[in-house]
Amino acid sequence: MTKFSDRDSNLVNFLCQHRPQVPPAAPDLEQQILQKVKVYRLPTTSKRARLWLVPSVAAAGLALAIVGYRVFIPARPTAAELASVEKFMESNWQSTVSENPEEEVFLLTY
Amino acid sequence: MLVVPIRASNKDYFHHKSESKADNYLVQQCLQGDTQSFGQLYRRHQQKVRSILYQLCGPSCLDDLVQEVFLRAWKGLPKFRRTAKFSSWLYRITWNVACDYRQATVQGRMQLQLLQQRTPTQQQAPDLISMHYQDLVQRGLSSLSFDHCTVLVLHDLEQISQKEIADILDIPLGTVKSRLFYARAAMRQFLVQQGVQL
Repeated sequence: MTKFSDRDSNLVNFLCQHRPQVPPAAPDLEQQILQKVKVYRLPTTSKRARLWLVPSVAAAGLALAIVGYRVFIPARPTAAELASVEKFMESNWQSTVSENPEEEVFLLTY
Repeated sequence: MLVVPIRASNKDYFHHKSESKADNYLVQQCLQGDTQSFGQLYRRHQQKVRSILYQLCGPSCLDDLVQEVFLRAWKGLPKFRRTAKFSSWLYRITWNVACDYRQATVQGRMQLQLLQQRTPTQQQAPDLISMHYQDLVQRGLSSLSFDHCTVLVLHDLEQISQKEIADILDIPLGTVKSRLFYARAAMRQFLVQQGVQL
């Protein structure tokens, strides 16, 4: 509370002294309120529980994405694997294309 | 000064706890479906809620308005922040209910009707001078704007701190001080015009 000046203090005292008296409540008002309160059930924790689901679902999604990436994306081949693949392609290429063009004409006419 | 008691229960479990902690404990019980705890909250705060509503809205429909406040509070409990003060939160609901009521009534004519409805039977052991002054205070409050009246009632009659009023009304502290200053000036002027020497 703030400190009053004399003028304010006199006014506040007058107001408090002569404030209109509050009429009493109906005797059964509390019971009426409690009856209505009993009818209305509070959604106590369901909404809050749903809110807590948000970060856990996000974390689970992130974990799945990381695991999926590791599983489905093939690992990079090693240098030895690359060399063997290259060797294989070279040998196949040589067998399909001959260096002598006459042989090719011979093959085509027959 | 008139002090409104808000603790009515003899079986008070909270001798060593602050009011606020006790309220928060009761709120937690309510959230678990314990309506008896809500009954305790009602008994702790109903007099002040009732008094504020009476000063802001008059005697008509007072019980209905009190009921509305506590039903809104019950329904809003899941949204109540534990860090907040329960009484401030409840008084904010009270103020909202009072605003809704004032908007729903035709203000000028309605207030005159409310003043006319005040009968001597509402006072115990009526005293003419006292009744006259009470009527003056009531008329003086009615003559203020709703914002000024609210701040005057909460601060000077209900003795709620300016900071808490700022929280309740969600306005800056400076605005509370300013409204209080103008409200008091207007009230003082009204009373002086009516022949009251302060």
